Amino acid sequence: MVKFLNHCSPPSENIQTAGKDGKSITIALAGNANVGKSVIFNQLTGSSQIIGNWPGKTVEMASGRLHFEDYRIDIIDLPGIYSFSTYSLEELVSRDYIALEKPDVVINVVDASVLERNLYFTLQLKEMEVPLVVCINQIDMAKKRGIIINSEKLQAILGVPVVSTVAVRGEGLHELMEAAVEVARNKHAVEKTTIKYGAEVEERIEKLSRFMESNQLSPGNPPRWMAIKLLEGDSEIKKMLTPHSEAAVALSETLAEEIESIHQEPCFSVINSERYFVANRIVDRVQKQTRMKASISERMDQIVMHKVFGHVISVLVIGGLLLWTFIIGNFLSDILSQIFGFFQPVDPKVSGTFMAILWNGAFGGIVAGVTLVIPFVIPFYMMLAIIEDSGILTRIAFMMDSLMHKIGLHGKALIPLILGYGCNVPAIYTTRILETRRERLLAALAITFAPCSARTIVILGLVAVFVSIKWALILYLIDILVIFAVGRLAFKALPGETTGLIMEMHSFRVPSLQVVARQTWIRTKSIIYIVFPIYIIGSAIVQGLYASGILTPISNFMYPLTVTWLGLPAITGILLIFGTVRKEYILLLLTALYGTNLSAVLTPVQFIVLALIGMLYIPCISTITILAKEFGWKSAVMISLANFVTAILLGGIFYRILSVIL
Amino acid sequence: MQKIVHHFIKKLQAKAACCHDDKKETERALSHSGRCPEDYAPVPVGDLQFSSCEECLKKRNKNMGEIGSRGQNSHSLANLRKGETGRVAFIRGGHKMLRRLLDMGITPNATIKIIKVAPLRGPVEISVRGSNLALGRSIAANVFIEPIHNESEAEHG
Repeated sequence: MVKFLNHCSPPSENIQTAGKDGKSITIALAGNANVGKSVIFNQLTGSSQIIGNWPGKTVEMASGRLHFEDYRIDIIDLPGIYSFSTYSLEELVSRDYIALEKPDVVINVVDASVLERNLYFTLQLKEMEVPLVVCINQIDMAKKRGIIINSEKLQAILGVPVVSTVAVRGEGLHELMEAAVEVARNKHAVEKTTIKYGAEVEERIEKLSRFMESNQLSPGNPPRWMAIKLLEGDSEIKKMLTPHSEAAVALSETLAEEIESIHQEPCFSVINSERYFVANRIVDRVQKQTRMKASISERMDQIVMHKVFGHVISVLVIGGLLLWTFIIGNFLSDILSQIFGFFQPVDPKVSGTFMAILWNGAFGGIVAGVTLVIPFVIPFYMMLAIIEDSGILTRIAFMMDSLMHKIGLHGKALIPLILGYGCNVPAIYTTRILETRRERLLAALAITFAPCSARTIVILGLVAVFVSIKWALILYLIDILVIFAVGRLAFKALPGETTGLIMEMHSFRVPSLQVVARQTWIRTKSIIYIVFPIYIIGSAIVQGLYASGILTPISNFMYPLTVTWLGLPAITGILLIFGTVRKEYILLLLTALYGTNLSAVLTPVQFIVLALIGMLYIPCISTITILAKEFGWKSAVMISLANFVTAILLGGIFYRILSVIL
Repeated sequence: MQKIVHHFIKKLQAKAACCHDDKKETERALSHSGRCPEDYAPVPVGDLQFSSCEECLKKRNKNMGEIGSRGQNSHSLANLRKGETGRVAFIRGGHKMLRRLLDMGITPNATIKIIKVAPLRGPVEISVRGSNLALGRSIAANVFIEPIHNESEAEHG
């Protein structure tokens, strides 16, 4: 919530100290979605914010640090927004940050290809009178579209430094930092150029802002900005101002009505049009556009969004992601298993000294991790990064919009769903790109049914290896049907209006090798550093417990479910319990207990049923935690229950059908 | 459908209904002047998803706003074909949706070109102020443009 009215009694000490004590500067990166803020952030700080060619990647502020000249610079990467009208969470977060925290410099990152709409946002930053540097990014892409921007002229008009960059290649970033530091150093000396709107609007803005100023109603905030916001009917500002001065609110309403009667339009629409009018005029003066032939991106669009091919391609992308993972993963897995087998065959022990049993379990965990997890995870994440970076995700979202409406969501919800195939946790975070809580909840439910890479490993490791590839793919198909069916049911249970889709479609681009490699590494790294130790420890514990005989009563307790209903071996109960921590455990522990030749232990039907159960029966603990954090415990429990019931029902039915077929 | 029409006739006879839904020409004809019998407000053109007058009134009171002015020749974006160009005449929708569309540059008089229309009542992709936007069909249905045929006129807004 906006608190700045009661927050800023001493006139912003932040501004006075920072930059002058020498040595520390805070810079915020702000701008429209998908203009390259996170790319710049990563380049400057060496951090690893996830980047990709779709709007909404940065859902929370990220901060990083760098040293430049003599300064320690903290950089804040704000979520991409189009306006400060505070109609979405991201807008509120960004506006609060800029208005409350008062960063020393705001770098407004602008997409050179879409200058007019980006300037609309720049004008709003100008209204807030923040120390500003404009960064015109992706000038290479703009050039390809025949767009040339005269940055000196733009600098003269806006009255703030303007720097052109190509952030992915690091071009212009040094100049950008120089400009930012310069602004931070002299921010009081900078003369303020105000960009004026149409006379009848401007007159009233001035009248209101004079009133605010003379009554000292806008401490710490520019009166002109407050006046504009009031005229726009900004409810946050109105709410905050009412207890201080009802007169100001009343005056703003009278003035807004005057504007409305002149233009015959709601006042917010008039001001909005004024900004766009100014932005349009600036573009006319600083931008030269030559007509170009249809770019490669446009030609690709013709194919990818073709009414027939488009759907085929959407299916191919999702299917291809899985098929590629399997083929490459299986190949790598084979090689690695042979290498390991050469050193020491994994042969689980249940007798011998306790230490020997533990060691054996731990070693089994390592082998299983290296031969079963890494080979599948790397190609999967690589392909996911390519898909994310290419811009095809927004096209798939476009093509699938009607279908998604059937489960109460719009096309954009497909983006987190596809990310859910990598890992459910960030995917559930990404549901923040959706508009309402209800839609986010529906999307999160669907995501928990999407087989993440851990579940993929279980499916591939059990079914593709020991039964056949065909059955592994059938399981995926079943999963998609389950997502749709559950989504449809949930939509019926949680009825409401589905928000319409409004999504910016960015040009295709050739994924950069560096970005793909980096993204793959970031995601794989988290598996190796965090998850690997868990494999090893868990594997050792289970083998120890197994040897000591504690597990038998637990498996017996679950006998009616696992053996009678699902037709699986009694030990499955243990696997499923450990599997809630990490789904891979289902496979890893099986290997730890029975060695790598699992076909001696399970029948083909059991492999398929176990994989199906493993895929659906519960979101892992990390996913449940994030669900609880985002939606509350009640929703998290409900979603987990929905998973469990679906899995047990389907598992039992499948066991009975498959026993007849196979 | 027959049932709904019948329902409307009844309602109209009772003079306590309005019909802002002109999904069917018949319904529109019923209300003669194209105006709501309740408060004489003009019935919006286009395809609103109401099945009864009550629903329409409820929605109208909720917060359906309107920006811009209707021209003689306004067409909903949902009814246009790929390649057609026009100027925004008026937009209709909830307050939040209107703000969002305005922020994205869909303001009265802005030039819009239809880039692509997805099949199966899917979204419409438009180009406005140099950016490409996908609008869901339900939103596109509430954005109305005056078609322009002269290319050079479209360039200078």
